[in-house]
Amino acid sequence: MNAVILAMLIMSWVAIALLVLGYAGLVAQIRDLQRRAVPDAPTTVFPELAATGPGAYTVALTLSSTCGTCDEAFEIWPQLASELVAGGHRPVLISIDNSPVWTERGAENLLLASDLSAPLLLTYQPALVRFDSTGALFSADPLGSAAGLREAVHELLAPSVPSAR
Amino acid sequence: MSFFIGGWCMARTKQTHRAIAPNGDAVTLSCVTETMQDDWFWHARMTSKTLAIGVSVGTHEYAEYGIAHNDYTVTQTVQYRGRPLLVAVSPDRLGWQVVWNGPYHSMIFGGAGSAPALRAIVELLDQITLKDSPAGLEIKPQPGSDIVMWSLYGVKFTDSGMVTIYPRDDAAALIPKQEGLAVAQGTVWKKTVDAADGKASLGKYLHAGTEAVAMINDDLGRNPDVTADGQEQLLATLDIRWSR
Repeated sequence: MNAVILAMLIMSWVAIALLVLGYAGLVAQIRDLQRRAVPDAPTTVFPELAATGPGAYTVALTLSSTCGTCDEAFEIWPQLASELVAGGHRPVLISIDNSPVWTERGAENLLLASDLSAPLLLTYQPALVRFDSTGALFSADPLGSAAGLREAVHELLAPSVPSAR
Repeated sequence: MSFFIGGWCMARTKQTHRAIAPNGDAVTLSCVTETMQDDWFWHARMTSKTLAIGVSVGTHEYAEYGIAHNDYTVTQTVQYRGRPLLVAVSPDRLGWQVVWNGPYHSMIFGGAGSAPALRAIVELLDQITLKDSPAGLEIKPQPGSDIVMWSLYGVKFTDSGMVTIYPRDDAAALIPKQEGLAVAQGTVWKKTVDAADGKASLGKYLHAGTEAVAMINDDLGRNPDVTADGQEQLLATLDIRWSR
């Protein structure tokens, strides 16, 4: 009888150990998923692109001279830039491939990527990039159309500003 | 056997085509046939903890045809890694397709429902390496990503039918247990698959070589260009090398 009780006790401890291991595995997976869900901390800082103050952003439209959607985005940018200024933000145009073509087409205050204090590395163009009051990169979004740019700017100007992703 | 097209005599000759598969494998297909389309078409599944999509790789024309044939409308275009990335949606907006055009090939994937946000598409692409060359478009998950590519197959069109190619290790379950007909570079079986509409059976030849398994559509009687003689010569001479 004692042997049976001992065997049951051992089996109980084995079962408890397996449960603990399983729980530890689940916790590790949850932590892994949580870590992936948290956005990367903005580490790159561009002091020259600092926004005018807390709560405001420098909103940069980055353009490449070889992309069609950049042309469309550039066409509607002046109107959107005015709306951003009215909303307390600082609009900026950045030529990501250092092409001066945008100045030739009437752009004011164009920044060349080579003039920035750090490389602004984006795999896509055009993009709408936000910087906070310290010049830290806050968010970057690809723009697939002029309508997408208008929507993104109006979303930014809406009362509840979406958080950085 | 030979035939004439516009005054040119088309004779059967041994043709060898080489390509790099999306996973980087080197694939060579040789056979005696009258014509074999230069283009390769590839398909694979890509899955991760949060993703499950079918990815196709073909020529730019194939991608354009896919959008035009289905009456899709391009709604967004962005430059991704210096090349065009398009998002197209179906007329009822219940289907979507993403096309990335490399210098030589296109990568296509899509799905049902509303198109995902462009940001989500870009985040997916940021997890894979795209290397395009005349031989093929390599799509490899970047180190650290949990994306896995599997169920890869290639397609070639010959005048004796469509040839679908699988690496032998992946397609071992397709090989019948019964004894097949020995040919120069493998063994051949004939399989019949009942059509979904119940109207006619679909015949397929299965060719198993040392490195690859191929399914060849039996279009004799369906496609006027396919002849019994041509089929026989294709099956007798088919040689597929798949280097992993």
